[in-house]
Amino acid sequence: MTALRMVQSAHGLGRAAEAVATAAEFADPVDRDNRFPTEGVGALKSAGLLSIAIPVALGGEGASLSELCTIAQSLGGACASTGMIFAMHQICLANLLDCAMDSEWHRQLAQRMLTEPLLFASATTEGGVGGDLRQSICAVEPHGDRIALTKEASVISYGEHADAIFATARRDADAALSDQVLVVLMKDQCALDRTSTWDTLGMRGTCSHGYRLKAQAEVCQIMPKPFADIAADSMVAISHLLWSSVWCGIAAAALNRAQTYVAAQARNPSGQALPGAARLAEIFGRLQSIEASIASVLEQWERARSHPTFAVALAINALKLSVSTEALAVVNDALLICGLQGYKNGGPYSVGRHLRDIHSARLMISNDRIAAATGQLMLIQGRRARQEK
Amino acid sequence: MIGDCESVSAHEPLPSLIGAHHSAKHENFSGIATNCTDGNFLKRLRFQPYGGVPMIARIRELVDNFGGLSIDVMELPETSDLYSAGLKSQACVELMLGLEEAFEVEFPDELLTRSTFRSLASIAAAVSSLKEGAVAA
Repeated sequence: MTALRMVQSAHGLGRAAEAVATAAEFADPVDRDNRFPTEGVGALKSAGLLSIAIPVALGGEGASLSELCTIAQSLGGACASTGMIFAMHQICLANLLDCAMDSEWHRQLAQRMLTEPLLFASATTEGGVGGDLRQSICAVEPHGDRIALTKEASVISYGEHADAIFATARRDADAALSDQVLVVLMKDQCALDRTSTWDTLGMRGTCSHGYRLKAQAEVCQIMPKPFADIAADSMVAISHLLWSSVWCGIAAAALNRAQTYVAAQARNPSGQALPGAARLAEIFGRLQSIEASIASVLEQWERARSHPTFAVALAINALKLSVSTEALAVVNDALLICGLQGYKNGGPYSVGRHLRDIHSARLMISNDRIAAATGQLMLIQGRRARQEK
Repeated sequence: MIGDCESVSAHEPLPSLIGAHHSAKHENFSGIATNCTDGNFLKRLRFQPYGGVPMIARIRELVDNFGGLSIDVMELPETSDLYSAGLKSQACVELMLGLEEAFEVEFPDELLTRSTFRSLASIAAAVSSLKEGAVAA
């Protein structure tokens, strides 16, 4: 890393601190009122953090995935919804930067972000495909240089607040369900009719309502790379790393509250040993393991990025499975430490919001589905053991 | 089968599974893969019999069995993208095991990437390079 880059990234992380403080301030009202975190996302925009990953070659700051993960973790601890929105936006941006820079239209969009804080959302979920990212029912309809698309999107997180929506669709009406493209649709090209309401246990501020998306756009807005490759080369790994960072942030915030609770007990000695201290030490160890596993898989991914093997895909899937489960365990134990003070909403020791938010982790792409796929990938591990005999 | 594996690993220590870098062998393979769209290469594959069945036809059967594709593999052109046809990474692993058994080859870790399984032709190129490697050894 050059000295200039280091200064720029440190600057980026410094700016993130202000956005983190704003997100934290509004986390409870966002959760309570089931509303978009306007203040937190506004702070991300004004701090220029939405475009922080635009490469230096395009005039941006070129923040690394590791830096994005650090910001996602801090935001996740402050307001999980704001953290997840930051993560989902960065996943779209990574798809754009990794997979579409040989297309003039997409390159111009990336450059436009340097002067305009555009928020990207994705419409990859569709009713009728059983939650499979790699299948679409809707298809791009070509009309000369223009295209039309209608999608029954069962979820578009913060769709109404986004400046562009990245939608998957079949290449054309004759294409197989798996023959997908990713098309970037600008806000003024989309009509969103809400078909379901996001009233959930947690992650309430992501406003992941269901919509019928109707759009008209130019052919050139379709990313040139097939979506099968975008998913494998960029999207899946970056999603799991950024999501895991947000979940780690939620767990760290809950642990922080538990720690504050134990410290308060220590200041008012009852003459008895602190009941929560041992458990606190235990979850601290768990949190450290989560952080270490994210850092390790991040390093594997960065190293193998240009030539990712199935073994790397395996490590990334396994990371999602373990972090989503372990982070929940940390928050759960933080609740036990804080007791009724943790169970109560509001107050410095409340971990109810954290617990509700972290419960989404095992469901965002169901762990059961990922475990089944990962189990199949494990066959290469068994084979390696056999070869090493 | 296990005996075969042992003899392979005894000759050539396997590179680290994670972060395998481009080895000379892999670059060599890439060369073959790039050439696989060349008409003569495909013609050779089509007419190169394997156990009485042309290699590409046998690969087509294996992809049909293990690939979990959403379309008819029998009709698929040899250079068509199998990922767009619904092939997933996890299915590649099963397909690879099927290929190893059918052709009595061993895929080294550096070939366990998406590009190896991209099309019927690229799989044939990989199997051919492994067969040739085995003969040369």
